[in-house]
Amino acid sequence: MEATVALIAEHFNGALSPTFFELITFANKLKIVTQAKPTIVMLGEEIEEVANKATHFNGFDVIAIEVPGLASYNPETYKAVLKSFLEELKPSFVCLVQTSTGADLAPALSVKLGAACISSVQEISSESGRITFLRSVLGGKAQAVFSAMTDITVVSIQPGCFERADTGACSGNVNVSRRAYRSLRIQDLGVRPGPGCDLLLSEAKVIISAGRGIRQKQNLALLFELAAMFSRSAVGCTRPLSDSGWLNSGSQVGLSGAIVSPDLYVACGISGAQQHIAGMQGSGFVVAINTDHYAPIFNHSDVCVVCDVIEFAPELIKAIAKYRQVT
Amino acid sequence: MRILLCIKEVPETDAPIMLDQASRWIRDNNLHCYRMNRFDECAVEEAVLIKEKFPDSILDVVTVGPKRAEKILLRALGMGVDNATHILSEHTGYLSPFITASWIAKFASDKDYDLILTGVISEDNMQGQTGPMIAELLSMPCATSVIFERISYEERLIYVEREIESGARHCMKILLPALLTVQSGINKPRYPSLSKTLRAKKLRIPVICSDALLKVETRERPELIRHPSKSRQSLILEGTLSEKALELAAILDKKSLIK
Ligand SMILES: Cc1cc2nc3c(=O)[nH]c(=O)nc-3n(C[C@H](O)[C@H](O)[C@H](O)COP(=O)(O)OP(=O)(O)OC[C@H]3O[C@@H](n4cnc5c(N)ncnc54)[C@H](O)[C@@H]3O)c2cc1C
Repeated sequence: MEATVALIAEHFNGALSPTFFELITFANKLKIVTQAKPTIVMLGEEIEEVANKATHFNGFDVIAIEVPGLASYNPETYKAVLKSFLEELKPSFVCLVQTSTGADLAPALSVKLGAACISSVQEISSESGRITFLRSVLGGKAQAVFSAMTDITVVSIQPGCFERADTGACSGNVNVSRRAYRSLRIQDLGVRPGPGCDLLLSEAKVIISAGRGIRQKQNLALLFELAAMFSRSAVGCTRPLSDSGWLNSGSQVGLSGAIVSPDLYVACGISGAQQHIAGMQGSGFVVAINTDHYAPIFNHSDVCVVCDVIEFAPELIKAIAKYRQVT
Repeated sequence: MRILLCIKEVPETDAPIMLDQASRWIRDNNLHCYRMNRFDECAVEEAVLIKEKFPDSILDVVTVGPKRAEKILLRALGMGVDNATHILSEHTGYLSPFITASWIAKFASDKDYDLILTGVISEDNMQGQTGPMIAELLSMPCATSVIFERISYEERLIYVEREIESGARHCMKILLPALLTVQSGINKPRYPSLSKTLRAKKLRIPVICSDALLKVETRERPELIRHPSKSRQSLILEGTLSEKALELAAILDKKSLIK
């Protein structure tokens, strides 16, 4: 039997998730090294229309499973229906995106299928027939390359690592089937919107961003002072700072906060975990200030300043003031 | 209510780390400073808060790790957890979350827990797999990345809000027993109390040898570990503080970033 790869596609309110296209890019790379045929798998209540959208631009077949009453993601229903379906399909790979849904599903599916599970994959390669997956570990301080030793592998890809690339191919077949499943132990109560990104932050040309390295709340004043040296500037932060309420959650940059792309991003006492990098990697110019020479943020910076940000910020304010006087 | 907390020690991320090419993983040595995974601290805190609401609750904590990891069990006891168990594994190198999950599930299988809590992710391996795998192995419903919970014990229900993309919240009601993985921001973990810590130090924490618990084969392995590649030029400024500041200001000015 021909080997297959199952791509679990997410959708919401009749639209494909933006990361769906990253999954397609990954699937095309996987196809080159495995020769296996990708099949898009999706679940939902009224699924046909979005299933038809999923096959555009990639030529992959879609298997859409209509589950009455499944308005949005219900972990129990997804896991149960996918298990029975994937046991029939027998794919060599099950691929997802490490979104909140993918992170919820992937480990459970791997247990159900007796598969290896490799999460937050950033690159795929193959050497003499062995397929390997690169991922960050230890907050980005190292990268590890993994391989699976099982017949089935569940892989989730890190959002933002596989750029959308339309292949322009024609559409594949869409097959809609029906399965009934009633979740007994989890009742889905819907989604409440998040705080939304601070307007100042999303429109800023310069973002001075604070991490745990600023150590005390009162040190934030220094960063606001630095930000005031620039026009159209704002102060952003990492998750631990918004968690502790030092800045409001609308100021958080990253995967679970705002995705920003200012002309200048100054990371102050930020380690550079991948969830933070995902929110600022599109910035024009990046400066990082950190006491740790090996902080991962430095790998994503144009200029690196190895020192205590609390000592450095006043010096930088003075230095910038000189330039503003000269010009 | 019986609650199990699963916690893990991780190397301190602020300090330089050493890589070990033989095991293709982070070098396990006592030069690294180890501490409790921050997301697990939130799980411990959440359990202690539940116990404040439901004083009859019994809180158990378990970790899989080397002898050294006893330190984080003491910390959890100091924060208000009742009992600790150490699943001892002197394994060095990469330990698959599936193996850890299998050991913990085996340990928990005969204990009738109403609720199991873990952190959403570990700061070293960063896969977020152990919690959902334990749930699956125990056939329990599971909610990941939980940022709010409320228990109605009479109905045997837990209401949870999962944090999803851009801070939105997915709300669900789950029948107990259940497993939750806890996201940071759900609470502010307390410092261990001195009296509780002193009391904990006198206890003998029961140790279970992981090999005696269950034999599990790993399903994936690292082929290589390396320091990360750079996505930008990473120019390092040299000199005194004020020299660095002046050089940076000059660079920003040249790029017309100062206006
Ligand atoms: C599902 C999920 C979603 C997440 N979403 C986000 C997100 O949207 N945004 C986000 O930011 N994080 C997010 N995180 C958390 C992320 O993994 C990291 O924990 C977080 O980014 C770390 O923040 P930090 O860099 O401020 O702290 P740390 O990692 O603790 O780093 C502090 C840094 O400060 C340096 N330092 C210490 N003292 C000084 C000093 N005096 N001067 C200069 N430097 C100093 C240290 O060397 C260190 O590098 C998420 C995590 C998960 C699991």
